[in-house]
Amino acid sequence: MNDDRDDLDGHTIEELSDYLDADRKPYDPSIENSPGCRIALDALERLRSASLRLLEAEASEEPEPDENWIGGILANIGREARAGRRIPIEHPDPAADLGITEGSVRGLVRAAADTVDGLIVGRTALEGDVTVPGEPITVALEATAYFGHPIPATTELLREAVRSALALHTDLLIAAVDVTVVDVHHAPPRPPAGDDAEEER
Amino acid sequence: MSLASELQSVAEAVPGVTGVFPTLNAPGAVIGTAIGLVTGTAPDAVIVTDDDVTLTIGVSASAPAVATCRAVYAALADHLAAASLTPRIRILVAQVG
Repeated sequence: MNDDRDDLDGHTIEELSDYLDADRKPYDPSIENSPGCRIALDALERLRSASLRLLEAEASEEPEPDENWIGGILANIGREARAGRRIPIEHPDPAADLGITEGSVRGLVRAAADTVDGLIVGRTALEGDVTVPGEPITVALEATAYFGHPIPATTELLREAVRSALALHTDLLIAAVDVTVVDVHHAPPRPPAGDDAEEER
Repeated sequence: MSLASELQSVAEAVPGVTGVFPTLNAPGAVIGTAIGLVTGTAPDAVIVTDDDVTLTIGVSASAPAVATCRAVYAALADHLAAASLTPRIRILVAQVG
């Protein structure tokens, strides 16, 4: 586990989860000033919203909600938030040495994936030599589909969301977005369509 | 105001930049951190040496990260050129969102 601590600037994913539990108080500069921790915190917040609903749904259908599955996603979030490789950003001025971390790109891939209904992404990876400008790379995703959502259509939406995010934020040449659906879970109930609507009544 | 602080302000003023993170693995960063520990002050987020300016930035999810990084470079290069300085400028985008 020492590697995990080092790679998230001295913090584990469990510590970050506890920090979120405490509503990010007291303010911890060693977390808030760490890009890796910030990426992980963002992903954790989104996962919590989805997984809480999922666990509630599974609890009503099955005797034991699959907490190991959530634990696996948490571990992946921690690993993926590490800075990783430096992806160069080309610039005509030789005095410019610009780049973006692999961790930040994985983070935006996960953020894009989290906007897609009907599945939850467990693992993201950039396959190929991202350190060479113009080198084609493949985005590999493992996802769990929600029962009742058509997998081909949902995975296509996922590909589109990821391609769109990478086109907006990077110069990466995306050869493919490979999605492997590794499991199917009961769909979480949709959030109340409207807390707002109810308040308006 | 030190040059490092000036450059941090210039970078933070570029649309889409959410912040400048402390740079840990850059020339001069260790010295800056050591001085900060002794003086009780936060080390500069922008590391300035004779040859290099180094910083790590966060970018908003709504702003194109690569274009924002290039815009930060342009802003810093302009600011430095006004002082007749032409160091190598290293910028790393470490968070988008």
